[in-house]
Amino acid sequence: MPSVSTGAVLSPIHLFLEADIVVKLVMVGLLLASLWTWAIIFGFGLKVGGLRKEMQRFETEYREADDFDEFHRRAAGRDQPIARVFAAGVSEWRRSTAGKTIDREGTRERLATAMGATIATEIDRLSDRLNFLATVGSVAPFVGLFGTVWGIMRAFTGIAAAQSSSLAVVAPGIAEALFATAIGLFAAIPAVIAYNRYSHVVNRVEARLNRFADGFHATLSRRLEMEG
Amino acid sequence: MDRSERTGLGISIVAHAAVFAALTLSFLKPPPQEPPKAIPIEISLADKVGLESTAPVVSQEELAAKKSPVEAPVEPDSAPAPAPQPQPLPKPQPAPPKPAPQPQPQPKPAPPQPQPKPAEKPQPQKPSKPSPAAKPQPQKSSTAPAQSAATGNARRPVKPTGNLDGLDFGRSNNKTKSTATNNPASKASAEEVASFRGLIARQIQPCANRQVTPGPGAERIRILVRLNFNPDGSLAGNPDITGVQGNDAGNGRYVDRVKDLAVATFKGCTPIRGLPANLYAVPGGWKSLAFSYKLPG
Repeated sequence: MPSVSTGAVLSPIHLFLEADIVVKLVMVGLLLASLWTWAIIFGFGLKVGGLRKEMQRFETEYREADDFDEFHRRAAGRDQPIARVFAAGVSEWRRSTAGKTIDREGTRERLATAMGATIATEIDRLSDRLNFLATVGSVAPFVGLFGTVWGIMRAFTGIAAAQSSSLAVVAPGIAEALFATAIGLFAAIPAVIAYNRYSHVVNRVEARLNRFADGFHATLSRRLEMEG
Repeated sequence: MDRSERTGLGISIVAHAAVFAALTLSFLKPPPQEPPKAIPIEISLADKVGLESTAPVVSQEELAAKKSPVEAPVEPDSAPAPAPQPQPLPKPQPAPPKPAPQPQPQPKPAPPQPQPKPAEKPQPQKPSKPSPAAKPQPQKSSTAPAQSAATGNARRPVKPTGNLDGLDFGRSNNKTKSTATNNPASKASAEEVASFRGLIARQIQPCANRQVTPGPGAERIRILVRLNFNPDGSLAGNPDITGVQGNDAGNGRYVDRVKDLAVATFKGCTPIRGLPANLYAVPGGWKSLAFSYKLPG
């Protein structure tokens, strides 16, 4: 374990190459976790940003539309959660009103159920990746700590082998070991922040979809009374 | 994995690479000025009063001649008044034998010649110096004041003048036959030894600080080195390694490396400047010195 000048010792490459195989695995795993965490953060940010604009535009168009059947022809094929909720309501409405006799109570319940199920599906899909953020945020520090403990154990073994407790012998091993904790925190902190932030965003999207579904349900319910 | 997630993954990879590169580059830069390290120094308590005499040996050589061997002339306190004393007058007697050449060529008209001579003498004495006959007498009579000074026994009081002749201007520039250029001390005193050893150690120190420990335990090794100096402070030959101390099982493999480091240290920071020239070849001087070398830290 040669002691080199302090400048090169702290370089991440050097710290990684000097480390034990277990610590190396921990570091690689944490680095991948960090990569995926940030991929989710950026991807979710992009997705939600587009989603809000689409919902805004869809609601405006819905309010301005004269007839939901005609609006359904224009908008039902869009790849948007709110459009799918709308399409689910319309298709349930059509199925329920196709027969000769219309069970109004049953139709209302089925409409509510169909749109609620669609909303739940959409929210599930939206928040699919967020559980990974939660996992990384809670587990990465422990994984890093495991790497640190392992590395420090190895450093102490090195001290025993060299029969010298000078700082030059101990320091490189401990620096490598602490580097594992550093990567763990590096991955975990953004993950926790992003998880809290995006959970809030998902809740707001769900509330907005519910409000839209309620409004559409009211419209259909009024239409149901006029029918038959 | 839809489009937005692929975009996010791309951004994430690029950002991680950027962070990694930034960390690597910033750590590869030389660290900021380290705080000055407290380097333990060795204190040598040298006697102020040597137990042995270190006084210079008295030189046996002659002193060089004085620059101005002439004595200052004594100046008369008055004008040379006594000159016209009629001393020449009573001296007519010794002349007769000398003027012989004149009468010789002449034939023998003896009686008339001796008479005109005494009559002539008093007058022509002073103007006719070239005449061989008159030599002994006119000198005495004409330079009477100088004569009295030269004899020295009758020195008269002198008035101060601006004449610088005869002052001692120091030793002449002509060298004596001696080859010695300095005044060597008989022996370097303990204080002087401590002084020039400290001087050498100070000038060697930068080179010693540059050496890097080859491994744990190597700093316990002490290399004993004997240095032979030239009079100009440079090393005469390589430093001789006279011994190794402090090597044990833990650092035995570093001994050769530390020896090389020791030699490199002493060769790297010589010649030493400012060593006292008169303490070079004396007993205890710095012609040959023993040092012990140890890695920093």
